[in-house]
Amino acid sequence: MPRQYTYATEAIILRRSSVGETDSLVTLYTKSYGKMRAFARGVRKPNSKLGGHLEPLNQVNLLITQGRSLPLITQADMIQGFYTPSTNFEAIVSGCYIADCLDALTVEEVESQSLYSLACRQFKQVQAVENAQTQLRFFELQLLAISGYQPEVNVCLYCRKLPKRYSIYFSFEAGGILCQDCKNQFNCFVISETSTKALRYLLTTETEDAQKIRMPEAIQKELAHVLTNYLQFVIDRRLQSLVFYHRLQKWESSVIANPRTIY
Amino acid sequence: MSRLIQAFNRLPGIGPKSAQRLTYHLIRMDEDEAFALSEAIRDVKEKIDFCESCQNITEANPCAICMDSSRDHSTLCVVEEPLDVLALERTGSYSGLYHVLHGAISPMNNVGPNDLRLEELLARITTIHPHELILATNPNLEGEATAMYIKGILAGTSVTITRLAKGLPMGSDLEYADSSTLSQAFEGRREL
Repeated sequence: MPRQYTYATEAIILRRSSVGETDSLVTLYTKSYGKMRAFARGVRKPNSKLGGHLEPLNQVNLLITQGRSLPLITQADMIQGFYTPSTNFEAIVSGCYIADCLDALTVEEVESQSLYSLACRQFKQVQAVENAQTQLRFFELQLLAISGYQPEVNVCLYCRKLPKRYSIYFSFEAGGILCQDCKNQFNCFVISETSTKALRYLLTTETEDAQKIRMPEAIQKELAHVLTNYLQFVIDRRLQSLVFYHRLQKWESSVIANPRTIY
Repeated sequence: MSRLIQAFNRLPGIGPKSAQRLTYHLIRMDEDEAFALSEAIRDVKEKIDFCESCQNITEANPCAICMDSSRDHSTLCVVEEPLDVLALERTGSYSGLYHVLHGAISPMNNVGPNDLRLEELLARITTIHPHELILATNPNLEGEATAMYIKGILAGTSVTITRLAKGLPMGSDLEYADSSTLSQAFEGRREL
């Protein structure tokens, strides 16, 4: 969308880093212009008019002015805040993971309204549900699909035939499933039929219906392994929020009796 | 000279040009002043340590606050950084002890509980059994995550966990306040 010197847009705050004494550099996913980085002056002062609105994971209305090097946020008004007094630690960690994935898989200035709506819905959903794992799997799949990396989960990628029940393989390189006969063409690993069915369901369903699927813990784990690693394969680097989660689990299992499962 | 420029360049907020300017300033400086600066840097590295109890930076171990018997030893205030202790001490309205975490949990920057002085806090709680634990982490995403995490791992213990009140800062304008701050200010309203 062509831009004027000053323009208004809706946006989700993905991350915020401190610059200088009181300024911040904010990474936004805007509805009209895609991902962008903008400068926010004086937002770390206690009396700043923008500060509270520009917290990560907030959905906001912004007025942005073209700056010399980076755009400058001049006005902000929160549409909905991600964390309320009832938000728990798990929801914050899940929300950060969504923001991290969105930041990693998108490039600046490429607009996608469907990605924007997906992120808004999922931020809300991970707060509403008790166990966000299914919602996170749904988000990963939809994010990959909208970005053009939808994994093939119906037929073998190589021969286009239906794989036999107990011999389904998944390949990150190929971007989907392979049958017994074609598995040697790529690096791959075995994936259960139930997980393949779950992937098919999550690819075709809506946010609200995704929560209806009931999966045993082993399938949840298998899906998490497949999707988080496929996502990292696509972006060709490790997601900081995932490294954080694995370190958290390791620390908790050594210090606390009941380590939590979030992703 | 280039070594000094590189050393300055490694400091936060100092770019290559500022590093060069600081180096030239040091060259023109009196010898006594320059040596006093280098001595101060050496002293900071040699004498400043972390208090074994509250993890604040201190010259004496345990620090003066932990050793002060007139303070309330049954209340612990958890803060993110040593500068937060100074800010709270300036108010003069808190007379308990502190615990400095040296950071806050940040999932997006891969800062986890094992990067903070959290194990020391857990050990301290089991040793001194404080009556109240005040979570004074910053009211932002990282601070909230840290407070929620501490609250979660201490669930089931007898310690009362409180959080600093949230609301409107002095001199602010209602019109520009975000809805989250406003709703929390409403929840925490008090009778006059």
